[in-house]
Amino acid sequence: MNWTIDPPAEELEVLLEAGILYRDAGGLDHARDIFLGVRSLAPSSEIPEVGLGTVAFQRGNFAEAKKHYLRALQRNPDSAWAHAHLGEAELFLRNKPEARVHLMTAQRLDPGGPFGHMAQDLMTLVDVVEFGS
Amino acid sequence: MSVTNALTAAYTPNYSIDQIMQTAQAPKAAGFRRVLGGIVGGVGNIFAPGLGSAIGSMISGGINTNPGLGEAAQYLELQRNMQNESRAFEAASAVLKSRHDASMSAIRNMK
Repeated sequence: MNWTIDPPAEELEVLLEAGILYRDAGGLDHARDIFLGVRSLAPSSEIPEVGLGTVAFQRGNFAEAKKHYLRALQRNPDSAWAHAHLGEAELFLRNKPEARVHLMTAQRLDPGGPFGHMAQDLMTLVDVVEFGS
Repeated sequence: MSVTNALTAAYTPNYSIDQIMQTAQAPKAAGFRRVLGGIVGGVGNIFAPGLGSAIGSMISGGINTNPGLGEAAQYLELQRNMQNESRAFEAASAVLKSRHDASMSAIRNMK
């Protein structure tokens, strides 16, 4: 028998929010497990993949975070959220030119929205804090 | 407390709050800035590893110890560095807030 689980979007939202809360509270293993679970339930969505990237970023593993963001962009090339986070990861990997490209892409895709705003704030940070190279 | 003692206190991992306060009141606040840079760097790293270090080093490394500069010039330099720190904190704070807002918005758009 072929079982298909298709949970409602509201339930996935609750799971993702729990993942974000765990991540921000420092429960990175729990956050990763939740995002992995949501990725299994919604394999076509880029959102849990970006969540996994943010967990790797929080661990200080920027290269791993970048891989997740690139995977997210494979699923949705127009994801402003993924572009903003990829720009952030590039910034911490000291790839300023690449960071600017992705941050500007996020701003273009979501002008005035929360993802474009995040990208704008990161651009400001680039100008204020010395990240090297 | 002399500047030398203040710096020694700042570099000692087990410094006390009193030492920090005394250091902060020293004529040259280099020691306090080093301590503050370390503390703020640690806090910043909780949210974004690397960011805290960047800001922390900006603070602790910002003091001008060039003996050739006059006192007024040193205070001007100190003021400029403080303004830069303030801008860095504002920028980092804005990023943390917008990151959270973006996360929440992405979740709401989950399909």
